[in-house]
Amino acid sequence: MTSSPLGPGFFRGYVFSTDHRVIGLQYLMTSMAMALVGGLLALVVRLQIAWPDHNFGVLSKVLPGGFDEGVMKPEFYAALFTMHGTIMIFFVLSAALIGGFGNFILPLQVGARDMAFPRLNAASYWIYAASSVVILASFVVPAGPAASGWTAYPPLSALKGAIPGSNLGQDLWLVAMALFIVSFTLGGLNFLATILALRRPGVSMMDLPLFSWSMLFVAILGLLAFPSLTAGAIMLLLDRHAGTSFFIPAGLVISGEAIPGGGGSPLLWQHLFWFLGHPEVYILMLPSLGITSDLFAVFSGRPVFGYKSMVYAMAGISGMSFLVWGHHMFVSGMSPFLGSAFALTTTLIAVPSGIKVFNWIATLWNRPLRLSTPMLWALGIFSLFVTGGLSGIWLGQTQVDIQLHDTTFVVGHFHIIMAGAALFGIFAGVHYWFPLFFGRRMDERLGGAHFLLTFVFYYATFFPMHLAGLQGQMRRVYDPYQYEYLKPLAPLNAFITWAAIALAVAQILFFANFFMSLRSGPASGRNPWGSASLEWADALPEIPVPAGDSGA
Amino acid sequence: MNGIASVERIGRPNPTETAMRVAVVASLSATTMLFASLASAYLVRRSFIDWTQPKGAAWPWVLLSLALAASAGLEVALRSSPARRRIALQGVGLVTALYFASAVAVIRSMASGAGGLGPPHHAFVALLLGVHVVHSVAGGAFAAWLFRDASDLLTPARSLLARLVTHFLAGLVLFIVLLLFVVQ
Repeated sequence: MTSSPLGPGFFRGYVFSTDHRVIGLQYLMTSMAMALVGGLLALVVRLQIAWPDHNFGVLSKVLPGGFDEGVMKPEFYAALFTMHGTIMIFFVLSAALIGGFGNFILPLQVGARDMAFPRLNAASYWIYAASSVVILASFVVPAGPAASGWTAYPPLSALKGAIPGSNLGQDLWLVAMALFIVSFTLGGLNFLATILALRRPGVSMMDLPLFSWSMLFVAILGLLAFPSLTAGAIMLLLDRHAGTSFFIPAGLVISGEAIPGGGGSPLLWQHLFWFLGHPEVYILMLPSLGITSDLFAVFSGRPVFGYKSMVYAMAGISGMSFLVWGHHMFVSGMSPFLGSAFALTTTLIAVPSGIKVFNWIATLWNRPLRLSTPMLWALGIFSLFVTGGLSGIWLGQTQVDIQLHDTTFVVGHFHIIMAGAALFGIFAGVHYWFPLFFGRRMDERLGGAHFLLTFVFYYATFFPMHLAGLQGQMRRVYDPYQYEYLKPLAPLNAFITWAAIALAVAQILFFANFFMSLRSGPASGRNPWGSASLEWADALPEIPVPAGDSGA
Repeated sequence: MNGIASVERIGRPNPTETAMRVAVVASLSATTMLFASLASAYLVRRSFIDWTQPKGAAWPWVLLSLALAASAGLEVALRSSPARRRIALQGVGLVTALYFASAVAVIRSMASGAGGLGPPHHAFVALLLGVHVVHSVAGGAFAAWLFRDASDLLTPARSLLARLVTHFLAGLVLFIVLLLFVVQ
């Protein structure tokens, strides 16, 4: 019995629900809120890069701890890019694509009534929500949030007194990551069990949409790759609080003071981190690639070309993603022979990626395409995947990477291939499945305008970064123009920042469209896009009952 | 009779049991990767020139004996008559609790000893044992949940899962002891 709009019915139905659709939307909404935070942090980073000596009077009033008489503090700048990367990669892109779409869409696509373990699923969301609160809380602790980069390299992250962000902020970063990993692991178990055990009778694995396949591979990648970061995070916590020296080298001196202990290896962290870090790239991209494949089939009116080869390509990408982590460490002094091996495996990933690209072309070839908004985003992903993939081949080669390592070339590359493809995948999925989420359609004209502006300004922001990187501009530098040879790049950096501001402003169209359509969008009907996949099916016959903890 | 027989009787796998089995195997796979990561870190650190291997001690073998006893005890319990099964399971619980207490005592004595966890071998012992204890608590809670109702002991699928988890955790202790104290 519900006595008020916020009574028990509201809380059981919308807050502490075990319904996969509610949980999916909770993930999506939370990740959208986190995206606002992560995006704003990026803008402040860009302001500093473009105009490092500028007095940001307004910002210093909003964020007084980060500015000194209107000028941004270097440690605050480091905290900004650290938190931007962490929030966007884990709390936005992973959460929206996997937690949001995965939870809502996957059970429907396999024909299940719910996820295999609904209570575990709800726990997964709430642990994610808690981890989001912890990471945001680090903004208000003394000395501010973590500032050692989203990669949390020691010794900055291992020594509490190294920089201001190495204090409580770094601890909160580690706690937030631990919670996120628990949440992701619970979600991964659920996805695997749902796909393998709860498919509707008659639905074989090779009947599944490619988005569902991508969820299967993402779950496997997460379950096998995140433990490596878990191991590193535990060791880092012990280094910080229990007197161990897993990652702290001997002979370290900070501010004239010798650090006791030591003998560990910071490179050990890098190996553990990147063993997760590179599969994480595919954890973000595979759902987008799955969505793109499914949308190309729907909007070209033709089944995706080479369905089985698409599945095998995703399997190949997933498997090989465990063999390439060393390409992030070419400059770490690794053996040239080992570097060559990692360069080879990195280059070989182009093979399954190429299969996907050529299959997409074959799917679209000579077909009258319906250029609805979801299809525009899918085409955008196609473009970003090819562009970023090509610069990835550059960076996979040791000779080139050693020159370009830690330059803005790398920043441009991964924002196009990983962040861009994943972000566009979120937009594609929201526009495509909005009718399923809310029974309404989003506005096509606003959607088209949003796509066009985002596509143009996304490239305008991140493509020139390749040029700055080729000129030798380092990433994460507080003031690039302290180096004489980078001064000529000031106009280019200003252009990038203006493009980033325009990109941010363009997102207002999305939020306006989302909430206006939520309130007053036209009714969508059951299957507005004419899709053949199961999530749009009208009547659901008898389906397998979820496992024992359903709480039903 | 096993899980497969019951599957054949109803014509298709029981989705609940299949989902549970998938989840357990996936969890154990993730745990395997966690210990593989820790072990690889240990092997890298051990190759540094400042590494000193401590002299042999008795406690690793005590811990290993307790873990293997818990594992064997579960097999005995599952093969016993229902009347004896409860007693045998209580014995397994006791041995498991002894293992937890012993492992925690080892970690505490290392942390409070000379040099604390500074010496790298001490640090890795505390790390691997500590992570194993946490997983054992989770595995023990899972097994207790499987056996929350005595009649569930007769469910082949649940017995299989309990065996899988318990033997896996005992195997991990064997792996840890071999890695830290035997393999040179």
